[in-house]
Amino acid sequence: MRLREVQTVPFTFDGVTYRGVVGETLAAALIANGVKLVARSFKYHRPRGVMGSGSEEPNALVTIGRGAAAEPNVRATVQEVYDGLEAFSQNAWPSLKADVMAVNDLVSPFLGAGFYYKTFMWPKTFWERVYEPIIRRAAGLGGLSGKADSETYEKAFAFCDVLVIGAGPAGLMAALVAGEAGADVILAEEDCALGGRLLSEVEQIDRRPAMDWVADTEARLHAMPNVRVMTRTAVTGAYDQGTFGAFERVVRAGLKACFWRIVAKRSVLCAGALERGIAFANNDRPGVMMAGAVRAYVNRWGVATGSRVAVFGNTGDVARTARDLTRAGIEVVAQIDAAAGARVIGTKGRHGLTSITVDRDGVVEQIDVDCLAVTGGWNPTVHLTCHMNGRPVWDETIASFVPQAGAVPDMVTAGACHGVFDTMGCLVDAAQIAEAVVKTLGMKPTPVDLPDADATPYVITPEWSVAGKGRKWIDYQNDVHVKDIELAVRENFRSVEHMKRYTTQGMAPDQGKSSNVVALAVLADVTGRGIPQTGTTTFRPPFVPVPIAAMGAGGAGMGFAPQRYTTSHEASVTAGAPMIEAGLWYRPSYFPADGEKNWRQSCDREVNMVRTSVGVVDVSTLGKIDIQGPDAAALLDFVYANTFSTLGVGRVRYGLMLREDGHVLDDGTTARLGETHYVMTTTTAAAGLVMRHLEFVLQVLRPDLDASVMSVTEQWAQFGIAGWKSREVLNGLLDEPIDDLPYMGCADITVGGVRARIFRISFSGELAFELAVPARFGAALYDALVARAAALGGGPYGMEALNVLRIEKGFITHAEIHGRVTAFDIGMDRMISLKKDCVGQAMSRRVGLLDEDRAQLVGLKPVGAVKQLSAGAHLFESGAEPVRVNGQGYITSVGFSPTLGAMLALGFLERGRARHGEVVRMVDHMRGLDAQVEVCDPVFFDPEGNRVRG
Amino acid sequence: MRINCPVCGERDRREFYYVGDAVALDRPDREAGLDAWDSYVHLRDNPAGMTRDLWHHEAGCGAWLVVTRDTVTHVVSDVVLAREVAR
Amino acid sequence: MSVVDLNAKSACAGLLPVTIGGVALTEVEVGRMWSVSPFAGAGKACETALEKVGVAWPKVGERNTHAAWFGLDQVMVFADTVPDLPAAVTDQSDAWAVVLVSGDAQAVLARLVPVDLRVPDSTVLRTLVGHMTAHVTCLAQDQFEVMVMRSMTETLVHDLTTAAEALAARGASGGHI
Repeated sequence: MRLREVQTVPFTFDGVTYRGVVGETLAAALIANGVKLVARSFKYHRPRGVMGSGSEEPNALVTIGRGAAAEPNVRATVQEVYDGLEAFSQNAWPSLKADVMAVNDLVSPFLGAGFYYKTFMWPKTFWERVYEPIIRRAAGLGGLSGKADSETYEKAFAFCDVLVIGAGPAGLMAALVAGEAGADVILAEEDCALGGRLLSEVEQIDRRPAMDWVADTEARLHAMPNVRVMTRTAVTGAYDQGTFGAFERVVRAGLKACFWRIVAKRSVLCAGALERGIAFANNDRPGVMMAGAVRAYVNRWGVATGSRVAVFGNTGDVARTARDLTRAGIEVVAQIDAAAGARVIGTKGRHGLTSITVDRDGVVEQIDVDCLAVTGGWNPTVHLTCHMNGRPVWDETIASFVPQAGAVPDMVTAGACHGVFDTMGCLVDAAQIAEAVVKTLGMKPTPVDLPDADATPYVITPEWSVAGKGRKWIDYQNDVHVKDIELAVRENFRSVEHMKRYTTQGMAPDQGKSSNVVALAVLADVTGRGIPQTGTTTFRPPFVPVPIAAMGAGGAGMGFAPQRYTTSHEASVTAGAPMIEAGLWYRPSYFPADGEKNWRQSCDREVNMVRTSVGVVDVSTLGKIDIQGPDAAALLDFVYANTFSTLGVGRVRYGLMLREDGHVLDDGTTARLGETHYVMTTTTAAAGLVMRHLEFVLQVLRPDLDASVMSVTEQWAQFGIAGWKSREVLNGLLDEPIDDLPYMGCADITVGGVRARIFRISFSGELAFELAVPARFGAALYDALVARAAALGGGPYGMEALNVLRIEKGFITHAEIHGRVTAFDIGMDRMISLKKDCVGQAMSRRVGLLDEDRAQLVGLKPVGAVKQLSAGAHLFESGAEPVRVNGQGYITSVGFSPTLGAMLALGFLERGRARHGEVVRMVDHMRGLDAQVEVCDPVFFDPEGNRVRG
Repeated sequence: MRINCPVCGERDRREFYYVGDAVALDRPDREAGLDAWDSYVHLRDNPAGMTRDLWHHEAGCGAWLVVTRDTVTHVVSDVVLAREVAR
Repeated sequence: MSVVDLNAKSACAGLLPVTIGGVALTEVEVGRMWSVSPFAGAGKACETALEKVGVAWPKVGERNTHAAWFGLDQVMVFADTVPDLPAAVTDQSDAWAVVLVSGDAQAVLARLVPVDLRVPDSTVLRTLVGHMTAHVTCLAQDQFEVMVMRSMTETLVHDLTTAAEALAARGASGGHI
């Protein structure tokens, strides 16, 4: 029922259309429309109504939206109403009123804490197939849509001197003091409006309504350019070195939410306090609510939570609630003050509260009510102070936990979360603390005029659990009641952390915000240990649930990882080449020609093309590192196993790089462009790794070397031209012929007047060159090369053909140098020069790394009926049972060689170099392949290397 | 986590690449023997407390850094250029 | 004699300019640029030699008319040529995609860059833009220049566009009702 006239818009709940006020919470709108039953509980499917008025709400979880846009477990007490909002209840079938799983409640004596653990143990295999699916269907909260989220999320970074968390009276005052001192301030508030509890209480500041002071303060803050106010933004976690996570709800703007990383030099936690309940029999019926929430609905939203309301509690809030309700014209039928010996001992009403039973010093009376407001006192919101291992401290005067000072570096607490519960006290506390904070930043606070506010002291008589029969609920979200905790203790789960896990107390979206302290007080009572000794469970981030979609915002699709394109990318795509990922790069797999029906046909043609005429391939993805300096040669001698100081200017050499543990890091060619100038080529995969390695060597291992490294990978577009007609392709294109360039030579040349570099190197075993031009000319040069090659009977080739060509020649890639092989394993140990030190040299000489029994690089070709080979397959002695203990090696690369008319493989085989000619067994258990293969030299084609010198 | 790069100032952890113990600075002579090399390459303490690590400001200025930090409190107490330690 | 005429293609050809809400993305024509890393002890000599051709040596984290700090012991010189220097010099003219973000640039980049962008004009930051290593230069409070590796141009444009679209979706209300 609404207490005032308002403008409304339509929204739906479970398909029924209601009307609500734009911006009010869904919970307020449902209450205004008389909807009491909003959810079914997690385990027993008990009918539940709205309990609270903030993000701590345990009951009113709903799903917002439908289909891919559906978001489960949204708290109705946080969700704002807008025109057309669609909300759905959860965990009930076929409907909230007639939920069949409510049968669980009837057999609840069997479903207590630990029930699952005890019951679903046997037989073991039943857990995954039978028990878990049934339990998941019966218990739980909202479900995901199973579709990719269609909503847009973003993430962002923010920085400030002072982060003020919470904008109640303390937070507003702290932000004001810090802002006026000139600090760069962010004020983050979870609610859509500033004011904190003042939004929901009837109080005066400076003899005017408290919200007038809030409005004035908000205006002052907005007028300061150094203050940034972020509403709807819950700070979710405190992390190292002043980093905070914050979740901002952004409503209906083509953008759903933003996850912020806020970095603050100082932070002031003004998170306020959360009201706790009292455990009494059947205290979970719809209509039993927190007293502070009842006042919020009446005072802030103008919504009556009932027409006959009783108030039960143990602080001055009993009278305060009764006063506010009466003032709003709502009948208050009883004030039950536990401090005066009065208690609620039972309730009635199946889908909504109809009456309560009250015991006043032994006099029992039943009272008809439709709402019961309950308060058990307030708990300071200490959560963020615990995120870095801090433990809250028990404060007897407020019968609650307060933050441990200094628990989060550079964070202080003020106001209610600091244990100060009256408004005047909050203002004074926050002003003093904020002044101290700005002083630590070297700023001078300007004195603020403290307004006059309510200073009624907070007096509490602790009341946790009312004696008597019946289920006394503590954690509504997880259906935990007092007996569950007693059972946990009986079964020796006495530590608070064990009790939590045994009973599920404090888990799920609300993380026990309104129930934890009551639960551990009950635990303390049962164990006789006392509350401070019992302690709290660990509060971890996030403070409120954060959708994974928000944390990972921008990381889907193209945002997952940078996509690196070569200058020939567009031409390859236009030619119909499927692009495959190579690290972050995209490279053409093959170039389908007319009439080709599968990749193998294209690949075979491209291999033949290179072997019989000429092919063009983009090799720009290989890392290129420019190395200059008086000690450039010494640097290369140190990072390569072999020697580069002896390389002549204008020459290129193959190099092998080791890790310090003696295994192979990478390989490639390095050209000497001048006396003190080299350019190194790395594999595509290891380009970043090698660059980092070189900087490591220069800055950490050998700062004595005067050399400098710079990546020039992106500067140059580089193309391989391979095949006996490659020289003809180039001589028709370059400004000068290159007839004199020797094998493994390099030169500065020009093409079309553009400066270029040419290298005579080969990864195919054919006469081949690599031609590099500045990247802006890459696309044009590629087109010219392909056109020129095509005119000579050649064309472009892709990664598949490149791979077959190198396997035919036994050239290795990272499929072979995969991190566990040594130079010895690939037959290159003699390359390690002992005339100088190099990274990995000492460890490469370990006996175990030079053992003849090690798996060594070999070639393999099929000799039996099965002609198919596969990478990843294992090798066994012919006739040996193909089980792990008999394994002698594995295959790393395979390809069909059209040149030799067979599948070829490279792999590693124990003592392989001594076993050429032996037939071994290849088994791929995954693909069901079992083949006889002959061990051979890894160089299958042109072993003399005549063609490359052609 | 944030690291105060001596060149760039305080930056978010995501800009840095972590390598491990700063023992990497004390590379043995190649003739030091396998025990020395085994210790250098493989053996590491796992302290609850102060530790000296090597970090690379890879997405920043490119400097290699020696970072002194506490694995219990997460306090970063010192950050210096590795080459200045190495020299 | 040239037998082929090679057309130059800029990194952002076909992708920019675009305008989204209050943000404009345009490609910057940088001309020639050179990385300069002085050899040991040769910093002063490089500085003097460059000064003679009118190029001032930039301070760490700063950009001036013809040069910018680019990393540890490294500056980028924007000039057609550089004189002979006791330094490692590489041509970087084609290695970068350079995009000017103007308008609500700080807000857009705050979605991608993990550094406080409220910096003085001419500040150079080596940092990240999304997942990419980048150079971010504040030319003016509403004008930032972003450089990433040339091969990542499409991703840069995508990331900037996505961030600008989300920002535009918030509208004047900051995205709230």
